[in-house]
Amino acid sequence: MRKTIATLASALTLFLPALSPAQEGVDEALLGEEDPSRPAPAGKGVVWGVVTDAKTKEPVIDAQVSVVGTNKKVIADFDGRYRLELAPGNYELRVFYQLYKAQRVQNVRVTSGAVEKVDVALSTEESKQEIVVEIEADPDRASAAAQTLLRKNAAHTGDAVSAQEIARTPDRNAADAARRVVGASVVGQRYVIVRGLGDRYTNALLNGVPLPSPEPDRQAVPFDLFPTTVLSDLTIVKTFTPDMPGDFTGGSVRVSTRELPEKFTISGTFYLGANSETTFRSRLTYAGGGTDFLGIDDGTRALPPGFPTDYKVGKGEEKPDGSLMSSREADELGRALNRPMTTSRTTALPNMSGNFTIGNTHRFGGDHELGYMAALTYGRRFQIRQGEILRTFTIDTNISDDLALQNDYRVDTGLDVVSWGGFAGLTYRYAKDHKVSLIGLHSRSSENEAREIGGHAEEGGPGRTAYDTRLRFVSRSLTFGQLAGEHKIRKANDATLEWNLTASVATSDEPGTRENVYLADDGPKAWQSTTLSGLHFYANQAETAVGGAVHYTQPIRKGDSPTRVKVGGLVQVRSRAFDARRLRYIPTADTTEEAAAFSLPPDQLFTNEYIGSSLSLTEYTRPSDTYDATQRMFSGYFMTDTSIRPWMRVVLGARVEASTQRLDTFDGSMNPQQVELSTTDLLPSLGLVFKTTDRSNLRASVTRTLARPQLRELAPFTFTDYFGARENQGNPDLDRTTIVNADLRFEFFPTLAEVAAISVFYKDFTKPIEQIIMPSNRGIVSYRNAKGAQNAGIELELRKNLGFVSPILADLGVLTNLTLVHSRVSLDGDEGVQTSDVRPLAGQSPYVVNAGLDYASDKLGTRLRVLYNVYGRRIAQVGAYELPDVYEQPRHLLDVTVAQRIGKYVDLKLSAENLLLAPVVFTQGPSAKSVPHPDIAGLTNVVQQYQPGATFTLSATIQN
Amino acid sequence: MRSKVLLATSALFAASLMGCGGDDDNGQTPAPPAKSNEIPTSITSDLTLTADQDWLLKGIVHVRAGATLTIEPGTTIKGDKSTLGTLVIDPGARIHAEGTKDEPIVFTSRAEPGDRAPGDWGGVILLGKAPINVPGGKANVEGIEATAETEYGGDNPADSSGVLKYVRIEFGGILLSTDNEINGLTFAGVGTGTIVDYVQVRYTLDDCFEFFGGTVNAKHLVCTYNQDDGIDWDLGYTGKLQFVVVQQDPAAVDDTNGFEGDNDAMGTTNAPLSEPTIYNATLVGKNVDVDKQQYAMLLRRATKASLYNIVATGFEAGVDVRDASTTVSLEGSIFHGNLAQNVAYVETPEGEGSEKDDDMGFDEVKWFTDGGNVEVDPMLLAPYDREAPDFRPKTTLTTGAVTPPSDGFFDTKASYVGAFSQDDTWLDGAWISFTPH
Repeated sequence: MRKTIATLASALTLFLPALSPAQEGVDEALLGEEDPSRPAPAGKGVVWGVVTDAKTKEPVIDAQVSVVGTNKKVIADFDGRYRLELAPGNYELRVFYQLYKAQRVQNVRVTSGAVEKVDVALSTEESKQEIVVEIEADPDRASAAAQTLLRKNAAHTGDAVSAQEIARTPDRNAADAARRVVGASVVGQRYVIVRGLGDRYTNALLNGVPLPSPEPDRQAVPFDLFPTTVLSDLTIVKTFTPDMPGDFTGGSVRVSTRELPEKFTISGTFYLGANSETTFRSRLTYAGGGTDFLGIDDGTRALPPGFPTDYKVGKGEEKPDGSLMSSREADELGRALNRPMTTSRTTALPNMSGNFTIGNTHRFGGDHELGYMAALTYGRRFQIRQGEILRTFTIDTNISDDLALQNDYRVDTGLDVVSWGGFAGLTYRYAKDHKVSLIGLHSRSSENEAREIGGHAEEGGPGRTAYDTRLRFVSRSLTFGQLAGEHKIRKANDATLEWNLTASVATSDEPGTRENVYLADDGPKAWQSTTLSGLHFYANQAETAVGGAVHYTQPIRKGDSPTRVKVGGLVQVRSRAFDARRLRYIPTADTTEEAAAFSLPPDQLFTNEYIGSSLSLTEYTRPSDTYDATQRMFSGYFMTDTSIRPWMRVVLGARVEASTQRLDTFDGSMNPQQVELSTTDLLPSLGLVFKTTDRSNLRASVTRTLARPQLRELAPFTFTDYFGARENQGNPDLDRTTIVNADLRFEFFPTLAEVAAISVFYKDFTKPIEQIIMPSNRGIVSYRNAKGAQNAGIELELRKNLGFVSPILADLGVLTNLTLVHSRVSLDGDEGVQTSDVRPLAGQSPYVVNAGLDYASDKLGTRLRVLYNVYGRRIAQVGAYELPDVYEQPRHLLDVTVAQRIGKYVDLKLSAENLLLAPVVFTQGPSAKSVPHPDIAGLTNVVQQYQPGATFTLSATIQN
Repeated sequence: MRSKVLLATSALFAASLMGCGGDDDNGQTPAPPAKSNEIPTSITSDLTLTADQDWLLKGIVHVRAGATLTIEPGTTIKGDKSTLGTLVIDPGARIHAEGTKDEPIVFTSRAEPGDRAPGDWGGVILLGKAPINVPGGKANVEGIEATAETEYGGDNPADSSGVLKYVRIEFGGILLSTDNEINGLTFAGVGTGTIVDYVQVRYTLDDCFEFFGGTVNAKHLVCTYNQDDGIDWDLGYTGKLQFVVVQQDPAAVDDTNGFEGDNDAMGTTNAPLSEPTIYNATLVGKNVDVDKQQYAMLLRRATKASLYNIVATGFEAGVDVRDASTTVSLEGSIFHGNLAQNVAYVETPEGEGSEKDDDMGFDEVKWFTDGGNVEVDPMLLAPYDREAPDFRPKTTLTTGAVTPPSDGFFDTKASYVGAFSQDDTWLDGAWISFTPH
């Protein structure tokens, strides 16, 4: 439990390391709030440990740990724990407390990104001479010393990835980095899921505050919005404690922004990358806007000036004055809206990106300190998917369980992805007890897509070819501002008060998506008036969140059995406005002469000549395409943290969360619709930590958490992703899900920088929300509270230095982690026509594996990391009418990074991703199998497949 | 671009509803609407639309179970575009729309004559409790909020959704949802207790008549100048049809067929299989060479059908039996003047496009001949005329015709090929219109 509490607190408290010892600061870590073994800030290493009484083995509270030759000094906390963040190098520590004899620990080696544990036992013997212990200079002495004075364990950083760790990987953003965490996997290169549980069961916090989502249909936060440059660390907390929002079950993904530097820091990195499928190849594109490179549409795709915004467009639509729009007006608007629908080709340039960071801390007037940090990042990359397979199948179980091919398409996609972000932080600190910080972050990413689909379309007839062109631009952004403070109240037994006020906005803008379908029969290609053809689609969403949080920690008892209580609360109000418009050109040819225009290519058909004769603009925006929604959350908690015995700690508490989700829109008959779900939940939590030996811990916990339905799932109206296959209809009767979580974890630290940990967990879901398919011609997706679901799993983690094989291998380490999950959800067989009523939870992988080899030589300035990642097949889409569920197949990913320091200021890095060229494959049914079909030899049940290629990136960092 | 489009239109409409007092839950009779010519959106008890005024159909109007909507002869109902005006008869509810030859009931566009066009409003949807072949026996109509009240299908083949007689439905077919245009007249799980006779659907964006399962029988169906198929069946439709005429729009852009029959969208053999029995149909194609496939009858996805006395002319090809699991009998029929292949394409495994084998070698031409069908000119008087067509043959086509069975539904006197004898006058009267816009 301790660990999870600590990581939470580290996310909630801002810039604590800014109070770094460099300023002769006294950094008091509070038990239950700050994990001294948390990852190191960028460019630094960490030394931490526990100061104990050599005789009683009890912690020495307030012991002073100083770094000899510097002015750095920290004071141990109630558990005798201390933490130092130091630049790489060799140090000597001095540990002192009243009545005890001071001790010196020599040759403490600090490497960048490493977290080392150095425990110290102080004795009260009346020797005048300080005891000196030297680490590593002599293994025997170190070993002997370990018996008496030192315990050197690698810190268990298992569930976190620090900025430094990220720097060893090819990762560009938080979503990439999250793949490295035990039990975490990433969907669609954007969404993080933990222990295989879908995004419904994961929450996202930035500096401790829940983030709004820019996604219309899901709660998920796209983590690719956070460039690694602005990250300090990424932590995934898997066990609930009452001081964190309780709406997670798999994990709570916490991103912390960068901490402030202790001295003037300036650095810049430039990246140059190439992809085996993309770079210098011919990329499909189309005429975009002048500011596409900024991830923002300059108005090229927007609705034309003067386009009506308060009534629908199309002949016969009622205007506010009660009159109906004439054909002439509709045609004029149709001509004004018309945008090119043609694609072109260009050569894909290499990927390029760069970032720049600057920061410093100023001291004045003795007790005043002011620090700042700013970072800018910009990147642009391209991706080509050539020959992507897209298929649909049918099945008739009356005759055979074999699938039959229905549609068979090949897709050619050109993507242009821009992402940039800016971050600025300012921290003011007074008299070591008070700190106030203000940060701002803006991040944006855009995806510009040109896509052509061609192939056999059963719907149109055998051997006929459909051609679908789609041009799409989506821009997402997140703006985050936070004012936070921390205060120590010495009069109140060193109680601490932390608070923050946060405002954030997440937006998604999709201006002017265009789609067109042509069909080739015996004759030439001709425009087809299917419902997606001639489409112009506009969507826009903004979700704003404002709120604040307070945490107050009161130590009750110090000494060998420290006890403290913590109370606090969080208030957040989110409001969302969603708005979409669906416009389409429909055929209005009255004569065969006018109809002849449909055989023209799009650049000749969609012209002023034919809009008004052969074509007419109409709007089919639905009432539910505009809605407003709010979510209010009020929560408060109380928890205690008690050491009952020196070897046993109990964390007990509960959180109350009152939440209201409300959505306002109109139903199909245009009646105002309002859906509201209000719940108040008590979320208790009990955690136990047993210090089984000096080098191991056993942790156990039982907690209750919840999962709320997403807004769209509650909405009674039907909606469709314009490109989606099925209609989607929410269910206003949905209730929230509650989950009982039980976790047991044993962790063992055999030697320096090594850890072995095993966890088992069990989750029992009451009323889990799952997709069903309601019967209709094609099936309508809806949601129900299933009877129940159970997940049981095991996690293993191992980090081992290979120095035990041979001293030559001392710089070499292996790291591996494995998660196995068994998942079952039971749906009510009477509801819906989905094929399987008992199956794993959608999105749940049965296993996730990470394995890596790590080499780091400070002497040579060389680093090498080889990483392998794979997840088990998982349900991507629920099947209906006897068609099996669609599974995403495992991808074996191999990434390699080599870095070399050159001189004092320059670092070069070469990284390679997806060296095994693992394709992305989705199949109808859990495993790939052959489908009997007379025409296509070797056809399997693949419904989607493409090759993302291998990416190679060279980067150079210059840092002072 | 925060549009106020729907906020504005729906707020306007919502305001008009405030006074309406319609309440689904307590079953109260809706009070007269605020604008007295607007039909309330939820009709929970019997309601009559009188002929003394035109009625406005706004939003998706449901006649709820137990209620009957009566429409007087000569009544005009105008569908609204902005609110997707659509009339839905829920399962257990009834419509009584019985016009006369000269005082028909007309569902049309709200626009002025001359400015009317396909897609100006939705359509009419009848939901019933007759069997369908969706596993579980019930289904929802896409584009309409699925609720327990609107789920169609059941185990009552004799179910009645009321009467449609001398009714014209025109200029509908708006997109009800993203990928779903609404048919002129949709029958979903409708039973044999329903009387359907003398109904014209024209100038709709989608199919004229579509049958999703059910057992309903119908006579005198007229489909002219729509943008998709004439008669479409699916999900286990097993009813009977007689006297059907389809006239296609030569300017329609998509692949349009006279009949398009499926068992279901996936082509399964789920029971009950679609198996309509159709006597006496005249199917008139575009009579121009278009770029899209266009059949008098496209029969596929495991449907069955028994087709007799059909005239098919002016299509690209007469028939395509799309897959091996489709079994159809066709007798006493005449195919003539279908432009590319009068009967069917000769399909081979090596063929391209329409000439590619899709039915495991099924020989449509042999099947056509074996059924006693012929390729002769039926001598129709003016089948391709847009505004004044005459689908009658110069001489009644009795040669080879099959006499309809005496089963209480079929008119046994129609022992001729096509929907008309040479002196038939059933297309006369005010209930029929061929005027565009």
